[in-house]
Amino acid sequence: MRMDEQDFKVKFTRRYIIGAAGTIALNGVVLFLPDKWAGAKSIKTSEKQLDINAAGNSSKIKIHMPEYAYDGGRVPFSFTVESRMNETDYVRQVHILSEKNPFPRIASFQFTPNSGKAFARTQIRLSTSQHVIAVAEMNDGSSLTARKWIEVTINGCKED
Amino acid sequence: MRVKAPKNAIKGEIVEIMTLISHPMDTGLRKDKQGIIIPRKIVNKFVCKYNDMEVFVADLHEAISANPLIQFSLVANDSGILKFIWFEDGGEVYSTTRKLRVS
Repeated sequence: MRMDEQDFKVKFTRRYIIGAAGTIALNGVVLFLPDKWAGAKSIKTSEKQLDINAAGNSSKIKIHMPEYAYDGGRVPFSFTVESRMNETDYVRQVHILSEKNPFPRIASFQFTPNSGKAFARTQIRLSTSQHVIAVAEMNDGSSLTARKWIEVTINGCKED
Repeated sequence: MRVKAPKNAIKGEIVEIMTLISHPMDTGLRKDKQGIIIPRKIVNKFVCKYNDMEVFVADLHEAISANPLIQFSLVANDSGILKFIWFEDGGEVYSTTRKLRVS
């Protein structure tokens, strides 16, 4: 009995020490490496994080985009924002952002009450599977966001 | 550059306009065969003027495909001239006009 207890104790302490060392090492990696690596990219990543963390999913913005794109170099993209588009209630701007592209901004569109509807269609480049985010700014200063996931096979930003 | 816009419209009608310009839209990330980076050269802005009033503006960035296609809509209020202007990096400006008759 005594021997067993001792064995258990030894094992427990060994495991405990190894485990503790492991957790410390892991925490060290998680906590310190991003700080060391934060260099020229820090501005870009902070901009991305800001936009994506604030993104909700409004039903007023409809993003039309295929769910799966083979070639990321030319993805058809269009959006419509539900709005009456008159002098007192219209969409002033719509910004299109990407989550993982080398440059997060895709395009911004400015509308007036003479636009009739807040709609635009274009073709975009996407580097990898990611969310595409639309941020609509209304004339009263409020904003709406929506996002849509897309699967991309071939990187559209670095094609040769 | 190509523009697909209706020639005639009824007053108050929402007309859809499609524009296209041939442009490589070099992002500044690609390399040529010698391995030298091709510098960034994109169309960074597109403006549509309806009787000298801006009705639609698009700020374009690197993530727009080559030969950028832009489709948008506007309300036909008066007969007049639609002017489409593309601004390229380095200051080059391309423009074209279309007549719109509103009855």
